[in-house]
Amino acid sequence: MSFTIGDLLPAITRGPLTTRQLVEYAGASLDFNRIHYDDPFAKAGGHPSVIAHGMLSMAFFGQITRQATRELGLGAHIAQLTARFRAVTYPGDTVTVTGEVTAVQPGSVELKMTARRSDGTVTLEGNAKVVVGA
Amino acid sequence: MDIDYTKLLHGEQTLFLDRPLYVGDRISVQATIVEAYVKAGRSGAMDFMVIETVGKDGDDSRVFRSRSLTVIRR
Repeated sequence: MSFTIGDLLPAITRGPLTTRQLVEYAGASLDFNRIHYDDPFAKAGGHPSVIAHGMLSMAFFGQITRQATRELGLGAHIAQLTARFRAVTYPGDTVTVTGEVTAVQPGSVELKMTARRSDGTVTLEGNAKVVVGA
Repeated sequence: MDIDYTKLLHGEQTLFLDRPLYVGDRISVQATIVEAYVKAGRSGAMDFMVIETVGKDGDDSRVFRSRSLTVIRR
């Protein structure tokens, strides 16, 4: 284990997001709220276009957290993953996720993470805990 | 539930995993509305709903627990 409090994880970038991807995510997650793939429906709700599922960006939190599980080796797994949704993400946006180590204990590492869309707006904040063993 | 889905926002989500999921696992999932309340927001009243979900394996042991906060603007 080689993490130290304050370590920055390599940032990950996903996207640009597409409406097709939101349709795929709707199918995978069974979240078929039309706000994610039906433009007139989303506009009727006051949005400029369809909006991405927040949980899709939360999956990117899971992906950056996996870097920590790999570092800790076999037997490490994600024990907790939290996201607070701050702003919406649109098709065409690129999502950048950064992460920082906030706690290191024998057998566990904690992280905090931030997701930003193309214009720099923070879309999600969250944290995660990775543990070794059961 | 009778909800205007254009007004629904996902506020927070937490997932607690007791163990990794393995190939062959058979998980049963139960979701429960544990809190429902109304709060005044900048643009009027908003409904909040907290849903807790528990996943159990074939031995009835908990595998994960999640907590979701949904906000519905009126």
